[in-house]
Amino acid sequence: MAGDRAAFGQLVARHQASIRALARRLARSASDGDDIAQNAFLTAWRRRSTWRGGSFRGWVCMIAYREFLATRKGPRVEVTDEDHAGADGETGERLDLTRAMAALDESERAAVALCIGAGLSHTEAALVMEAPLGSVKSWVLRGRAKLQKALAAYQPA
Amino acid sequence: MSDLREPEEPGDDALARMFAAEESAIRDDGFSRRVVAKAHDGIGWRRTAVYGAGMAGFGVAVASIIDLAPHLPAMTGWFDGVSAELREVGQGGFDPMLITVAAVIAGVSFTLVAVFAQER
Repeated sequence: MAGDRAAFGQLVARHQASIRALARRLARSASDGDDIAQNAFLTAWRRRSTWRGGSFRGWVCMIAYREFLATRKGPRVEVTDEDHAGADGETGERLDLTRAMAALDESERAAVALCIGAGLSHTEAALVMEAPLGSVKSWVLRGRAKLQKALAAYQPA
Repeated sequence: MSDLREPEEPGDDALARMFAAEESAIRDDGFSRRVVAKAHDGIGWRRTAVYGAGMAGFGVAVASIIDLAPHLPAMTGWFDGVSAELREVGQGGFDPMLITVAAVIAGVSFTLVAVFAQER
């Protein structure tokens, strides 16, 4: 049990940035995203006996996505520019990326956040989103095109 | 989660670099410590207390049925037999202390079951 807790602490420390980044992108808010990430890790801890090995990060990404969907069922919180600007002193490139992500459709944003942001494969993202593989590929493609257009200034020549 | 990765998948372009930069800017400002602390608390004293109170109440209620048996109304049919049995047990003069101990044991047992169940 104590060994479980120590290992869990190490896993949280190792993956906190990627899970928080994913949750922030999904929620379009740093504070809401951190709440989602925290709940995801706590859910992972409670359900650790159901983890069947493989990628811990992928598993927590899936839980975080479910947590995000669960928060959407509650009262909707209007996301403002302040939410976008406030996270860790975002400026310039990061702020523009956050705003460009916020402008995507919800499915595109989730697919892009999972595939390009969290580094999941299309197949893994399809499992997480419980969506057809073809749809996920399409969302990633469209989302990426929109981001590239919005962030053209940061693309290498 | 499989490790399947398709060749055309996104990953190594400017967007991926920007996402990585955004992720690396997220500092562990006590986040991990808070999560681990909550996970440790999450053995769930609050949940355990709620389960425990509920289950202890269940135990007391079960024990009280025996205590209340003499006052149960006479019922007909199949229930009549149950009612009569209970009344007979009640009139047998159960020691209130025995009933209390039985209720406490039932409550504690259910609480332990609840704790182990949520640890799974």
